[in-house]
Amino acid sequence: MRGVVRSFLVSLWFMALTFPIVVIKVSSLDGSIGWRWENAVGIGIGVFVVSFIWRALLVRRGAMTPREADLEWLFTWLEVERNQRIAKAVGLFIGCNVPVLFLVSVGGWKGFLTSLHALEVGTVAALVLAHFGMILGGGALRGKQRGAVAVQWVRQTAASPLGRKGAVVALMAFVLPLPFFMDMYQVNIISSALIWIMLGLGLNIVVGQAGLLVLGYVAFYAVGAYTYAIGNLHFGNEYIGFWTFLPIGGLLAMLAGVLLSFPVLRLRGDYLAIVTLGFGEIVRVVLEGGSLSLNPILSLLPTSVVQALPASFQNTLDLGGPAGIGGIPYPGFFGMKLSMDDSIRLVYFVALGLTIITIIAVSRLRDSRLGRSWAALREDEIACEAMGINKVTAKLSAFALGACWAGFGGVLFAAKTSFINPSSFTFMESALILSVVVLGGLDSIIGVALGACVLILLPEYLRSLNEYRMLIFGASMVLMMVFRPQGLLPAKAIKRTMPVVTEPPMNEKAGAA
Amino acid sequence: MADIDWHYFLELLVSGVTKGCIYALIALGYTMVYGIIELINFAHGEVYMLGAFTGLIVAGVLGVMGFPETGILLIGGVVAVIYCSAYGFTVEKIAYKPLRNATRLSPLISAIGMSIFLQNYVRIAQTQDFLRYPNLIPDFAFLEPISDILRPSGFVIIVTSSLVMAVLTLFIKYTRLGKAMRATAQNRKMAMLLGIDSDRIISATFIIGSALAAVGGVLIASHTQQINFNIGFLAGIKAFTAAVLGGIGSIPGAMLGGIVLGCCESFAAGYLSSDYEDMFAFAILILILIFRPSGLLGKAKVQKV
Amino acid sequence: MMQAASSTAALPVLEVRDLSKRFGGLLALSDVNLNIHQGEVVALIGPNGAGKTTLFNCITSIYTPSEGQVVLRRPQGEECILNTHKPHEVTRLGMARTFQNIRLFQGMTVLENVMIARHCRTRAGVFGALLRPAWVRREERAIEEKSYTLLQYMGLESLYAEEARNLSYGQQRRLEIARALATEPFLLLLDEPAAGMNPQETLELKEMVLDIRKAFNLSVLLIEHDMSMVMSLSDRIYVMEYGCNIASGTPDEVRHNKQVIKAYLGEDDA
Repeated sequence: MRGVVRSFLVSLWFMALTFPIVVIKVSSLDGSIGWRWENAVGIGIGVFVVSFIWRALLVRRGAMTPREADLEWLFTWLEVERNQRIAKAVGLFIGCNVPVLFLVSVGGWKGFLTSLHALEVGTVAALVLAHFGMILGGGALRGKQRGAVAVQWVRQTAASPLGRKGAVVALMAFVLPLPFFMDMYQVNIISSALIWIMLGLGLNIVVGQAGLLVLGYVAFYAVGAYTYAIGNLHFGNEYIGFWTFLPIGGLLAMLAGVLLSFPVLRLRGDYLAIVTLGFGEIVRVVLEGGSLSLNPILSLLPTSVVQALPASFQNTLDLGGPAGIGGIPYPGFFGMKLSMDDSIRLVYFVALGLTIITIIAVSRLRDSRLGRSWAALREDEIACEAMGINKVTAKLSAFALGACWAGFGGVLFAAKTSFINPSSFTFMESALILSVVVLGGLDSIIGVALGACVLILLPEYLRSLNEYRMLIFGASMVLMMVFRPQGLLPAKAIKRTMPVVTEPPMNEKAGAA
Repeated sequence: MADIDWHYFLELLVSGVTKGCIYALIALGYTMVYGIIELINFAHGEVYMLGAFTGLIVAGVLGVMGFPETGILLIGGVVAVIYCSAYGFTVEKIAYKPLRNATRLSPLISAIGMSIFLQNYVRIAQTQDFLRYPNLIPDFAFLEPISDILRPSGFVIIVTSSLVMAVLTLFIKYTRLGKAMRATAQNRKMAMLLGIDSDRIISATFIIGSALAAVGGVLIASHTQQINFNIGFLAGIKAFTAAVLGGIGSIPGAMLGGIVLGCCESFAAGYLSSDYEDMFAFAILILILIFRPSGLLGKAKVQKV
Repeated sequence: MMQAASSTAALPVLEVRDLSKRFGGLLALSDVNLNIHQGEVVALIGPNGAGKTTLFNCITSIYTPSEGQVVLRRPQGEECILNTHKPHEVTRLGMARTFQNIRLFQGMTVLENVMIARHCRTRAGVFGALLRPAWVRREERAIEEKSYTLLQYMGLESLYAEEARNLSYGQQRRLEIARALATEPFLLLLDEPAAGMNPQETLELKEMVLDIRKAFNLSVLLIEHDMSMVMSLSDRIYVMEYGCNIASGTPDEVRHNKQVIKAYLGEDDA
């Protein structure tokens, strides 16, 4: 009973807290006042339910005792095994229907039905799958046979190398022909999701692997995109195009990463976060300002080189300002003339290829001497140095590589949208990339890929969710940190099978010394 | 440089100090929280924005009911302070308290999440357009002669924030709670051993910091006369810069840092280029962190091994 | 200087000359002198707050000394003045350490903890990691094997896949030593290795220190509070109080030194 009273009080508190913002609305036109009492009721009910769940989860996490949470009755009830199964089934049912519930509560039934129109194959499939999984789970709970066998099969397949290869082949067989069966709008969306996977994995190098919280990651992305846009404007011709600017964009972004990392090398975690945030904003402000003075750089170059440059590089560089730069061409394909559709398909394949390369590169980095030095840096800086690791090199390389991938992503992004302006490179984008990494699981490659897909594809398909996208991201970042800091699919330690080494180490050492 | 335009200089100085006072008010919240739990409370800028919005809404309601302007300003300010304190308190309980023993990165990400959440909460519940803020500050007759330098709103800002900061200084110095806060900032474990309830102190810190931010929010909104859900972001970063400039953790440092930053920005915008006004704050931040990470009034810390 | 105790003809491998360290107005170390010769086990004792760990941090370049010099003589014959070096360079030169409050990489496996320490003796870089040529694969294999062998030596091999944070206290101490050994040092610094151990574990630790000294051809400098261990293990002892060297010599000499007794037991008992 006390639990109910407590939840009721919490819900009253939140109703009062949100009252002015949520209930009263001042019109921006004539200053008239609108009262939206239904919102207060919604918040009251919502908070009442959530406060139970919140406390129950805190108890499960061990942050509270059932007594402190006023939930003794619940946990006594849960001590019986049969009740646990019931609770799991109910939880699963609610969990699977949360998207539906949310859509209904946001837009009412009518809104839900219109959003169903916008639901595309993927989402319907996801909903069906969720329900299927629920039934499967229910089966597992009931008899532990059918469902459990399926779950075990998945686990075993994932564990065996052959199973994993099979899964990769199946996945490729699914994604390769995809653009030939979907309309171009869909293909574009999937290409963006792929770019976001690259960005997420790139940021993961810096944040997840090396533990350096960077909040201005989008700046490197912008460097890549503007490299292609500006480069194409001044140098672009049939020979110099996307494929030339892809490596250049990566390199320039890397250079920006190195330049930024020099001043911030000595900074601790939170200062680093804020300085990189500042850096990101500086880049955005410069882009909006519209021009960049090149004189400081030009004065370092020999005059003959400067004179050889095109006129637009002689003193200030036009960045397009808030209006941005348009007319950026799609990637070329051995000089062939491609139709619009084929170009979009080509972008998809380029994105897919780069994503695969990224995944391979990142997983190799993780299991390497360099990757271990980043992990050491993340875990304990002082011990890391005592192991003979140069902190500066480790940080610098993490920054440079992370930035490099953002540069590749940026070039690809410019090629995909054919038009860029500074509003694509705000702090919100940085925060989104960060939430991809955090949601998926810091340092977990599959997790980050999954995070990118969820965060980019879901709002695209659930249009009515779009307005709530950032709200949900913000909330889920908090919730993830509180309840599941390791992310949806947490990173696993690298598996190693150990050799049987029998020779005692002293012989070798004594011989050496 | 024989003929300096003194009038222009004064104008810039006054506008710098005005802005600086607001930065200082917000920076105090950052610095106090950082002093106690070593966390950059990213959501702090959002609390300031909420303060401005609450003030606006209260003013709207009271305006319809036909209250006089000065009364509206006072009531609006008080309500904003109360609400923001409640928001600060709640934010801490939800997003930071469960993470007290987590790694350093977790509360920081949680704070960013909270900041994004609050911004969008206001955007969805209210509007994403700019809202016009009513002019609630009366014209003071004695300001007539210098009205081209110091606007009434600027005057109110400078006077109010000086008052608030003086009260805060006295509070921290002489009251029981203030002393407990200083003790906790020095050494949380030791303070707990001496019977100080650190959870209560942390809550109090958030409440006080948020109240100061609310004052700043209402004041700046009456000064610039327009607000939207986004104003907390930039103000938050600049205030943080001010806190770092003064030496994070140091209360007089935050006040000094705010005013120095405001003046730097104002002069840089006035004499160099107004296009990049927002950039100077970041440039200053990066420069301080490189050359004097302990700030103007902070002390360098030796890392224990 | 009392150098008579150890009559090695060669120059000491580590020489601390008139070292002082100031934190603001506080003089944490003043004119400390210390020598370690090849193969010696030297102990550093003194009451809490005497500056022992600060001295360690100065020697390993985590702190920069305010005055004085730290000189390291490598077996290869070169002589390095460490004052301006970075901590990682010191490790590379052949001096490894453990920490008073254990500093393992808690979230990583036991084996990876040791593998990290091979960093300064291997050389694969970015391109090595990305392209994985044959020599890098061989190097990785060698790192794994060498690390595993060290774990075997420390009796931790069965725990190799365990996360470091799950180890018992004694195991964590041993892992820290294994990790230090993996950097191939000729001089090992142990900061209170027996802290928190029971008498049995302490005894084993003592045997182990003597073992690794022989097996790896090491010189050892250790800070320790356990007097029975210090007295039976070390060749020479330095005693510190209030940031100064107050005595040094063989265990016997130190045991009977008036000043040491005074420092430990107080004025009146002396």
